[in-house]
Formats: sequence, structure tokens, C-alpha cells
Amino acid sequence: MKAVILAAGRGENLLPYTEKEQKEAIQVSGKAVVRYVVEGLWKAGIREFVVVVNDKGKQIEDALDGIDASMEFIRQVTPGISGAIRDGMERVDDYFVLAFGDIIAPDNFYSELIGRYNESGRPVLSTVPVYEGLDTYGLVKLNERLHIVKEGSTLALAGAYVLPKGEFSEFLDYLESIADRAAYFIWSGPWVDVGFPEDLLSAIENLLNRKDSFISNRATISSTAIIGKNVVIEEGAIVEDYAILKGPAYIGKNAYVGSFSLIRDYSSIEEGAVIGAYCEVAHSLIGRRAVIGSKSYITHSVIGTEARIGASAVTISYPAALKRKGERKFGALISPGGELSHGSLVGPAFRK
Amino acid sequence: MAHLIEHYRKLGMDNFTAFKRAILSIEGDHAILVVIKGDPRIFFSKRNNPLKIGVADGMTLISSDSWSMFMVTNKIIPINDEEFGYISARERYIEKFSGERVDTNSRLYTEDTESLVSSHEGYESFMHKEILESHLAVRETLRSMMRETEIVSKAIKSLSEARRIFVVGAGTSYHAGLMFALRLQKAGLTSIPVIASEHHYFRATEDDAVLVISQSGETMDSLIASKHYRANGARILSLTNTLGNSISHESDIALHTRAGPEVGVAATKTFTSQVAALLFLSSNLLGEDVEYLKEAEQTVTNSLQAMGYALEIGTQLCKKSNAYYLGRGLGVPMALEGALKIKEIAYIHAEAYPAGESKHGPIALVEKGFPVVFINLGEFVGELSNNIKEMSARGAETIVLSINNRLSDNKELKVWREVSVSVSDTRLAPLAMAPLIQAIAYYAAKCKGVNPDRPRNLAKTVTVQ
Repeated sequence: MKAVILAAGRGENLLPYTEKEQKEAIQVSGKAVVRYVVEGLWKAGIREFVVVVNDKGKQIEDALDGIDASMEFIRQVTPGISGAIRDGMERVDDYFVLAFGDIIAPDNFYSELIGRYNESGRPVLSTVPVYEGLDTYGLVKLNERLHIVKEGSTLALAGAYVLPKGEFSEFLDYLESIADRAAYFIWSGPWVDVGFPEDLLSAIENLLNRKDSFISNRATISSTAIIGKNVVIEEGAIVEDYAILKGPAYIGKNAYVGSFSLIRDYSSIEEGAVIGAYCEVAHSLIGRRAVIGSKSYITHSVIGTEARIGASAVTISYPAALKRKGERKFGALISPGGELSHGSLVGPAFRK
Repeated sequence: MAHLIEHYRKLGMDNFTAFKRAILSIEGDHAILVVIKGDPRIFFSKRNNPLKIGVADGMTLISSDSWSMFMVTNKIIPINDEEFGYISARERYIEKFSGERVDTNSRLYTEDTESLVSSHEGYESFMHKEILESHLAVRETLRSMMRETEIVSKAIKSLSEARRIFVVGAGTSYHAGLMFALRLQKAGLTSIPVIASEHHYFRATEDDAVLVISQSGETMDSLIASKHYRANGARILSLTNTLGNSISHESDIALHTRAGPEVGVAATKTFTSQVAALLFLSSNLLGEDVEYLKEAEQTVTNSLQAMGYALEIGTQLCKKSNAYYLGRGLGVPMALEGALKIKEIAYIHAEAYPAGESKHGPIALVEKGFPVVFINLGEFVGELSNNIKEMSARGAETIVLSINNRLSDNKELKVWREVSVSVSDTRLAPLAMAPLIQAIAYYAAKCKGVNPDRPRNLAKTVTVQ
């Protein structure tokens, strides 16, 4: 069975960040978002992938590099989500897996999907419990048969399906048309739909909660550094004198943490990022090769790939008016290659 | 089944044809394997139950899950619903009920070792799986109650002739029994709920009937209680979820719920099935029309639809170390069960009281942020609203689980969160409530990072006194 992966969205809720970097290619704790999807399906036995991309397709290709499976990248021509699905579906024969490339969930999510299909031989819809205020694509109502609705249920479509090839103009109408013979499952494990900047921070929490401590023996760590619980340090990383890594935290390949800096509580420092001396980083995603100047305070923020934050920059995270319910804090979203000058004071919910 | 196959063979059919005819002439969900003397094949059939074929060198396996075949092979041929066929060491044949032959080679796939080992047969946890199967458990239980008319009417006759009805159970089964006893008492019958281990202080006579409720049928306290009442000369009835257990063996009339096996230690779908079976029995006993139970399955499904709220409430309770569960009328047994679930699964200290009792003591502990969960089954709504108001006034975080109405529309009550599930008949309310309180406990456990399938210090079947 082939899988169609959607990675061509405009990422509107992450603008201006997504002007430069495709949402599904954003790296979180060592892997691009879309890679979590493809690897999850790979572990469930899928070996052929059709990935629908847009003009930033090269980023997605790079993100999926090295996976031992057949990968076909096709450029979206028909507009909208439904269009992307139709474009992808042209490359499959009958039953296929459809997966949204912006979902972060454990591998079991996908093995449950495939398992349910193998057991029933019917189309399968994944659903996930959500509560009021969570912006979702569509809900599933369970009556005598399944129905796809806009309200009246707290079970949302979870972004991975096994479907027969078919014709449609609107994807949700298509789901509704096959719902009467579809099987479903309710996923209650970790699950993040990456839409808004704060979702990237939830994704880090999700991922780091599932990781055990791991310190590569090819990392260079000062004997005076303090490493707490649930810390992952990849090869080539350098942790300088008196730095404190208070987990859960992730330090990517070749990343650098300067002297006296504190990295704490669900922070993810991606490959090649540099944190200067005397910084504090909390609840933040520091993108690949980004640079944080000395004495900065970065909290509840997303700093893009190769962004440059000057010395003594301070982010303010509270109170932020956010779309996702339950979240009240967000500091800054800095686009890939973006800059903050020395001594900047930004936030809450600052975007550049 | 065996006789049916034999019957068709006597009509001159070969083994496989006879097997297929037998399958097509029976009703219901199944995963069946059949061996016939002198035939090297294993025949199988599947409908809405798991069954898979494993393929190894010169060997074929068949099992309900790939996990069990894992030591031998991870090459799997799935069998779909409404298919039958046979396997031998080298042969695998599958056919749809419609007669169409299935190409088994195209179905063969390799399961990933790593993800299989880490999953519970592909599920997040057994407790989660079992909560989500509640509607099927209820459906099967009620179907069998309606089908087995002979034994059920014997049970109803026996209960209706009794002077008093003792209802015995432990833990969750006691709560189901309490609900049953309350329903009978409200209608003027004399029904006495008995906690199994406390049976000594409740003496029965020859005119009394005793209904013993136990999921496993092996609960030591309940078994001893039933022997005690048998010695008193009372008639013993039992309601269990397994066949051939000690308690049903000890009883004059053995009734069964059909919830299927339950692996998670905390009772979930078996409780909901007990509630369904007891609604059926009590309605019959009270001369009510049981037509309303046709909506039982849908009621449970409606409740599963509200999982999102359970997630939110469970995640909130996870931050607390104490909670109260309050209800009135039939809400009391549900409150007791809700508090029990969150204690045993999420290790949150919770106490249940009749809501009116809360002001005679328990309210002293309530301060800002103290969570109080109200079970609102739609009876005594005015009184319950007053209790909510009292709790809110003291800063409690009030959570209301409602049936068919919304108390939070009254802003004065300052309800923190309310879930409302709709039911077509208020008698079905406990069936809507059960999965909800279980799911809240489940999500609280998940949020705490503890394994809901294996709560500490607890065993599935309690065989000690």
C-alpha cells in the first residue's frame, strides 16, 4: 500500500516564518515535522511514499533524506487541501494511506491505523479527542454510522486515514460519502497538529516526554557543567563550563551552549545552533544554526533556522492572546534568517 | 457448531463446504477455528473479531493477534470481516462470505518488530481500548439477555417472589449493585445492597433472594458471601462476565454479561455492561417496557463522543491531590464509581458522598481550587444546583457531568466545566455516565504519566479475603 503525504500547505498561521521555510520541514528535536509522519508509517510497514509538495519541495526532500523507501515527490497543481489530496491520489492504485505532514504523534498512532485496516479491510479514519475552542478541520460523529460534521462531537479527524481511491471535489464530502463503511479509532496518545507557533512548543513537550536521557560519547561536555534529568545531547555538541541543562531538554548535533547558560524546561536546541554565555532559554525552539547572543533571555519562543539574536535580547511571554486553548504564553516567533538587534525587548506574541 | 457441521456433512457435503454452510447459518460476531478429525486443515471464520494468519517456513499459524505469533514470524496475512477459509502447513485459502476468492499473497505484509512489541496489540492501553468497546459490550449483553428468555424469566420470577432482594458485590460490582437496589427500593420493593466483605451483618432467610455480582466470578469476598446466604436458605442468583466460574457454580441461577475479556485491571466495559444487564432486570421486575433499552448502545456511543471533555477534565484533575464526587439519587452510585476509578488509576484521593451529605462535614475541606465533580442524572436538579452554589461560593472548581440538561447556563452556579450527554430516556443516564467517569480517570492517569493498565497494589481478580 502506498502512502500520500501532504506537505504543500501555506502554513498561514505561522507567517511570516513559513514564507521562508515550509512548515513540515521545521526541525523539532532533531527531525523535521514531516519526518515523524513518514518514519511512523515506515515502522507500520509502508514502503512507498508519494509526497505532495509546493515550490519549497526541496526542503521536504532534504528533510526526508536517507529513508529506505521509495519516495516520489510531486508538485501540487490543483489548489487547496482537497486539490493536494487529488493530485497525490493520481499516483495510487486502490487503497492508500493519506497522512497530513504536520502531525506529530508516536509511531503507534500509525501502527494502529494500519492495524485497524488489516483487521477490517475497510477504510479507516483516525480521530482524536479535542475540547471546545480547539480549531479543527472536521469532527466525527458516531451514530448508527459515522458522520463528518462541523459541531456536535469532541472527536476530531486526526490527520491519517486509509482510503479507497475515488473522485471528489471536497475532501470532507468524500470522507462523509465513505463514512458509512469506514472503521475508526480514537487516539488518546500524544498528538500535535502543528498549525500555530505555540504548537511547535507543545510538540517539543510531547517529544521530550517520550525520550530517555541520552548523551552521545562524541559530545564535549565540561566537567563543571550540570546535566539534569531527561536531557538528550547529540554528537559533536559542546557544553561549556558551568552551563546548566535542566531537562527535559534537547541539544542537537554540533550545537554549542556557552558558559553559565541555563537551558531548561522543554527547550530544543537544534543542530549547529549557538547559545552564547550567560543566556537563559526556557520552553523554546532554537532552530538550526541560529545564534543567540550572550546574556539573552528566550522564553516560549521559536527562533528560526539561521536567525541571529543579538546580545541581551529579552522576550516577554505573558500574557499572550493565543488561538490554542490553555496556552497563555508566547514570546517571539523569529523567521529563518531573521534578526533581533542587541538589547531588544520583544513580546508577548511578537512575530518577525 | 459441531453438530451443525456434522449435520451438513451427513447431507453429503465435504468438510469445507459443511463448515461454510454452518457459518452462513449462524448469527453474530465471531472468530472461530474448527478442526475435523482426519483433516489436516484448520478452518476459520471471522466477523468483527480479530484473527490473523502468520506465515513461516513450512508452517502456518493463526491467532487473534500478531503479537502472539511473534516468536515464530512477523509475516502476516490479515483476515477481513466476513471471510472464512482454511490453513494447513503450506496452504492458506481465504474466501469472502459472498463466495469471492481472496488472493492471499497480495495481502501478505511484514509487521515491524519494534512497534509491535511496544504496543498493546496496536492499542494505546487496554483500558483505553476497553472503554472504547463499551458500546459493543452493552449491545452483546442486552442481546443475550433478550435471547436467553428461559433463564432470564426464571431469574425475574425468582426475584419477584422474594420477600427481600439482597444485592452483593465488591468494588465496582457493588456500585452497579447499589444502583440496581436503589431502583427497586424507589419502586417500593425491599432491596438491600451488601458490600460482600460485610455480609455478616445482613442475615437472609428462606424467603429472600440474593443477587451476587462479580466480573470474574472468582472474587473471594463475594463467593464467601454467597455461601453464607446459601446456608441461610436464600435463593442465590449471580451475574458474572466469565463462563464456568466459582460464583456461578455456587448459584441457583447464573446470569452473564457479555462484555468479552477485560485485561485492564480497572473495570470499565464490564461495569457498563453490568449496569445495562441490571437495568434490563430491574425494568422487567418493575413491569416496565424495556423498549427504551434499544437505545442503550447509542447512549454509550454518545458518551464516547464527549471524550474531548473527559480529556480536558482529566488533565485538570491530574494537577490536584484531592477531589469530591457528589450526586443525588442514582447519581450516588455513579459518584462512588467515579471516585473509585480516579483513586485506583490516577492515584488521586477522591471521596464520594450523596450531595446533600456534603454540607454535613466534607465541605469543611473545600477551599479555593478544590475540585468537586457533580453527577447530574437529571433528578433533584434544584437541590443539586444549591450544592453546586455552596461549593462554588467556597472557591471550589466545580465540574458537572450532566444528562440532557446544562446547569452551567445558570451563571450564578459558577460552574468551571460542564459536559452534557443526551439520552433518549432518562433511565439510560447511568449508561451515558459510566464511560465518561472512566475516561476522566484514564486521562488523569495519562497526564500523570502512570500506566492505567497496571495500578499499583491492585489485582484484576481479588481471590483473598
